[in-house]
Amino acid sequence: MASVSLENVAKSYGARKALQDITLKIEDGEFFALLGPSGCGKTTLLRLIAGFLSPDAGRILIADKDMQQVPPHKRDVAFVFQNYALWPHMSVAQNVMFGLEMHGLAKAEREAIAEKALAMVEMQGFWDRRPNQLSGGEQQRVALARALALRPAAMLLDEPLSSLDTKLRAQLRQVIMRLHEETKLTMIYVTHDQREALAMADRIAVLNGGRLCQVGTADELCRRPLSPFVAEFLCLEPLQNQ
Amino acid sequence: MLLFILCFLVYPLGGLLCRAFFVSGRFSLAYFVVLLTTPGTLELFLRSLNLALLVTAISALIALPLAFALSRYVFPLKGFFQFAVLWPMILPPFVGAIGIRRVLARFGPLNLLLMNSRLIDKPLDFLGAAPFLAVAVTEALHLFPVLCLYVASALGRIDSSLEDAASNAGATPWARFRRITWPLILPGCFAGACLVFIGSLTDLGTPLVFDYTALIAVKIFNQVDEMHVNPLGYALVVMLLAATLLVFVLAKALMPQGTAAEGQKGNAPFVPRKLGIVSGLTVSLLLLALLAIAILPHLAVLLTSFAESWFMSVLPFAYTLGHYLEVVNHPLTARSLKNSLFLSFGSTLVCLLFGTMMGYLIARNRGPLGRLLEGLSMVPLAVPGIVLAFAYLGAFADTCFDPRRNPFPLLVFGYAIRRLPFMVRAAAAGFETSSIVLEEAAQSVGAGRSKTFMRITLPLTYPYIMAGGILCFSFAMLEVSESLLLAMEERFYPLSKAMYALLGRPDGPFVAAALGVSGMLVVGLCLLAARRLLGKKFGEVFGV
Repeated sequence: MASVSLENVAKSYGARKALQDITLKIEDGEFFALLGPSGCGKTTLLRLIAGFLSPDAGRILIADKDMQQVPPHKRDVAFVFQNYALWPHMSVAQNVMFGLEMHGLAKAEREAIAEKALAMVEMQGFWDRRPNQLSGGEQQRVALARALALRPAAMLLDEPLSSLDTKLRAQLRQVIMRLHEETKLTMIYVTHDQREALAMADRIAVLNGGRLCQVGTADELCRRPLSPFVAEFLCLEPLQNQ
Repeated sequence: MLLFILCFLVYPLGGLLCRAFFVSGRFSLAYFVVLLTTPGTLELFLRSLNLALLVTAISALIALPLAFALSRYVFPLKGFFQFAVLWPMILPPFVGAIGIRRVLARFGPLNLLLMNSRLIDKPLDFLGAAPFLAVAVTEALHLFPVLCLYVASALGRIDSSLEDAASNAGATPWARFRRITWPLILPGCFAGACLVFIGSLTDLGTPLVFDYTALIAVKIFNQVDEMHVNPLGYALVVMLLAATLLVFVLAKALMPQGTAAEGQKGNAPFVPRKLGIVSGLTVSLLLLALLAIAILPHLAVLLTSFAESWFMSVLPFAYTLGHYLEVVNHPLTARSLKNSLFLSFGSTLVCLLFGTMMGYLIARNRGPLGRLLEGLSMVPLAVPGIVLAFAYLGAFADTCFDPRRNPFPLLVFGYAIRRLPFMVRAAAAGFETSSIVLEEAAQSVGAGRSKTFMRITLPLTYPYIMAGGILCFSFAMLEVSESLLLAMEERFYPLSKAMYALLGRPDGPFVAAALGVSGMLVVGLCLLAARRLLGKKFGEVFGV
C-alpha cells in the first residue's frame, strides 16, 4: 500500500498538450477518482503512473520513490483496463496466476492466491474457462481478480465499467467498493461519469483540457466549485436529471 | 462465373486426378506404387520438402525481427523500409537467379573481389559446391516479405492493452514476448510460413536457372514432353498438389478467423515507440544491409543489362544501352514483350470481370452462397502454376484450346485463375468498406439493382478494384511456371520463357537481363500505382 504523488507532470503527443503541470497527492488507502470529459487527459495520467508512458516533465512518486527510471513491470501497481485485456490464449486461472509467476511464486502458492482472488470477485467456478466464454461483466471481474492477486501498492482502474450495461455497472460498482473496503488498497479510478465518481470516491480530481481544475471531496466540489466548468460538469447535470 | 471456374480449374484438375488414379478404366494406385518404388523419386520429393523447409527457416529468420521492428518502433527511414521490404517480393526470383548466377560465378565479381583483396587465391565454386543452398537463399530472399506481411499484420491485431497488462503484471519485456505476444501471433506466423513453404516447393524458375534439376518441380517440367506416353507424370503432379493442399489446409485451420480469436476488439492500437539515436541508426543500418543483400541479385541483373562486356572483372568494363535496343529489335524479345503485355492485359480483364462479381457477392452475401464462393475463390492459391499448367496440357489436348496450336487462351485463363484470389480479396475489401446503406438509399429513390451497382457501388469501390487489377497485371507479366510449360513455339513465348531461352545463347544473359529489367520496370510501376490506390490496405490483399 502506498501513496501516489505527481509533481508538475506534463505530457504532449506531438504538438498536442495532453497534460500540463499536474500536481497531485493521492493518500495511502484512498479511493481517488480522476473525472473529466473524454480527451481531458485522465487516461494519459493513469498510464503515466503505470509507466506505459513517460512524462515529458515533472516527477511521479509511488510510496515516495521516484519512478523516473522504473519500467512498468517493476512498479508494483495493478492496472485494470477498460476493455479487460484478458489474454485470450490463457484460461481464467492462468490469467490470474501469470503475474504471480512473473514474481517468482511457486505453483501451489500461485493457485492458493488465485483461488482467493477469484473468490473475492465471486468467480470461483470459472477456473478453466477461456475469456471468450465469459460475458463482459464476468471478464471484468476476472480482470479485477488478476489485479488483486498481485497485492499491489496501488490499483489503477481505467474506466473499468464503461463497456458494461447499466445493471451490470451498478453490480460491479458494489464489488469494487467492497474490494476497496476489504483490502484498503489505494485505488485511482478514471471515469467520465460524474455520478460514479461522486458515489464511489473519497476524493475527486476534475480535469479539463489537460489541466487540473479542482481536487476535493464530493461535498466540497458540489458546494464550492472553483469554476463554472466544475459546477456544470459535476452538479448541475445530475440535479436536472433527478 | 461458376462456369469459368468449372472449365478452367475444376475440369482440368479432375482430368489430372482421373489420369493419375485410373489405369485402363479402373481405379488403381499402381502409378503411385511405381513412382514410390522407382529409386530416386522419393529422394526427389524429400529433397524438395527439405528445400522448402530450409527456405521457410531462412525467411523466418529475416522476417520476424523485421516485422517487429517495423510494427513496434520508429527509426530513421522507417517509411522507406516499409515500402522497400516489398521489393524483393515483386522482383521475380527467376530474374534474380540470373543475377546471382553471375555474382557467384567462378570468375564472377564476388570471387574476383575476394581474390583481389587476397582473401583467397583460387576462385571458389560456390554454385558447384552448394547449389542447394544457392537455390534456397535465392528463394528465401524472394519469399520473406510474404511472411513479414503476415507477422506484421498479426502483430497489428494484438490489442496493446494485452501487452500492457503483462508488463503491469510484472513480466519483463522478454517474458512478455514469450508468454503473451508470441502465442498470439503464432497462428499468423504459421499461416505465412505455409505460404512461403508452398512457394518454395512449387518454384520452377529458380532451380532451372541454377541448373539444379534434382527437384520435383523440375522433374515435372521435364516430364511434359512425354506426358502423353508416360502417365507417371500425372501421378507426380498429383503428389505435389496433395502436398500443397495439405499445407494450405493446415494454414487455413490455424489462421485466426477475423478478430474473434483475439478475444477483444482492438480499441487501443499500438503507438510505435521511438528508438534512441544509436539504436535507431543501428536498426536502420541492419535493415539497409538486409535489403542490399535481398536486392543484390536484381542489382546484378540491372548492371548486367547495361554492361558492354563483363568478364573477369568486379564491375563491367563499359556500359551500353545496346541490350535494350536488342530487346526492342530482336524478334524473339520484342515479340515476347508484346505477348506478355497482351496476355497480362487479357488475363487482367478476365480477372476483373469475375473477381469483381465474386467479391461483390462475397461481401454482400453472408449466407452459405457467400461462404461457398469465398472458399472456391481461394482454391487457386493452393494450386501451384506448374500443376495447373500440367493439368491444362492434359485436359485441353486436341481441343480448340490446345496449347500446342495456340497457348494464348489457356495462358490468359490460367493467369486469371491463379490471380483470382487476390482480385476477389481486393474487390471484397472494397465492397466491405462501402456501406450497404448507400445502396439501399439508391434503391429507395428508384434505382434498380444493376443501376445501383453501376452508379453507386462501383464508383465507391473503384480504387480497390483498380488496385486488384493492377496486381493481377503485374503478376501475369513475370509469371514463370505456366509460361514455361504452356508456351511451346517461339512466336508465343511470353517474357519469362524468352528469358529462359536466351540464357542458352552466348550473348543471351545480357539481353535476358535487359528483358528482365524491362519486365521489372513495368511490374514496379504497377505496384507503385496499386499502393497509391490501396494505401494501408495494401498488405491485406496478399493474405490467405
